[in-house]
Amino acid sequence: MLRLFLLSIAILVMQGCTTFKTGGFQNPSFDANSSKQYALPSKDLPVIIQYYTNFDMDSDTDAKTRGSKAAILESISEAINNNNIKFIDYYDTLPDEYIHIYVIQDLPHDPRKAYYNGFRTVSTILNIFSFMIIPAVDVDIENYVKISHIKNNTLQKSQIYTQNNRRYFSILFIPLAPFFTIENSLNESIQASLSEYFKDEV
Amino acid sequence: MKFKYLVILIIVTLTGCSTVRYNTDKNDHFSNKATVFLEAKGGSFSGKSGLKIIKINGLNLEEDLSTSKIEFKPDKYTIEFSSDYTRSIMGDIASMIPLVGPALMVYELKILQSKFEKNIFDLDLKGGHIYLVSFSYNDDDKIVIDIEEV
Repeated sequence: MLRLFLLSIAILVMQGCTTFKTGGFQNPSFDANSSKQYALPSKDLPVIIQYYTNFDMDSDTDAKTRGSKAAILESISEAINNNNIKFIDYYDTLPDEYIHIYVIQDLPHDPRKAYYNGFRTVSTILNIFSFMIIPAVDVDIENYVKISHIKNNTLQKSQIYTQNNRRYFSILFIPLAPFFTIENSLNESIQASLSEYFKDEV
Repeated sequence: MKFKYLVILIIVTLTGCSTVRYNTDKNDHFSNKATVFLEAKGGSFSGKSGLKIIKINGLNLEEDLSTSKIEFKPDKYTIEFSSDYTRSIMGDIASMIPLVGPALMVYELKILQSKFEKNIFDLDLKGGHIYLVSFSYNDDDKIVIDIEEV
């Protein structure tokens, strides 16, 4: 019993340790408006943020969502030195010109069944075999960051960046994840995306 | 006992297979697939009501696509949505309590039998684009679906 328990932990920890590294960073260019003549927007423009996650996404009061929102704000503020960075909820009417940053985080912590070998089934079986000691969750986090320059209600240029991140190995460790938290994941993706977007800035 | 170790190892290995793709490959570049997110409301304790896809281009799916993210090849699709409810672990436990169980079933049936204002959409899903499918209830208690292209 003890050997089985220790082996379960060892496997899960090994798996966690081998998957927490940051995944590939992609920035597909598919925007028809992009051109070499395009001038990057000034970082002094208002920055308007939208955030979507499928992890307790309707729980605005939830600490996890609040933490992610704070991380997004902090990450963007670090990359863009601007006092006018706000979530879209703060605006009744949008400014004439602004930078729009849409952050989407896919963290499928969701008990709904999946098409292939569902997350629910796997985690349930894993829970049973670890005698419910380790309520395991194993998910890939994918962050999408879309940065758009809007002027007079018209899209000037937009670019989307995606990044895969680590999988958590146990639900118990999510709040205490010692290596790489949800906030770290967001921070890294946003910083990398903004850096890429403004790389040609003079 | 060795068999148990082997089963644990196999299960742990399998646990990365939860991404849902309709007709894409896991190696497809982001710009060659359209990503659709389906909204779910509710918490870890109350259970989640949400949307699922039951038909694509008029064909019933072998299994409902009720996960939160689905990837499609860029193309035009006619997609039919239906309502979905997933009981939470707390709900599972509560359902075993007399009176609470039947009340919970009535609640779930009400959600699952909700009518839609419109639940069939013709969508031109583009590669590298993300589609957020959310829902709300109108004054007649019908579900109104909103699809936002990001």
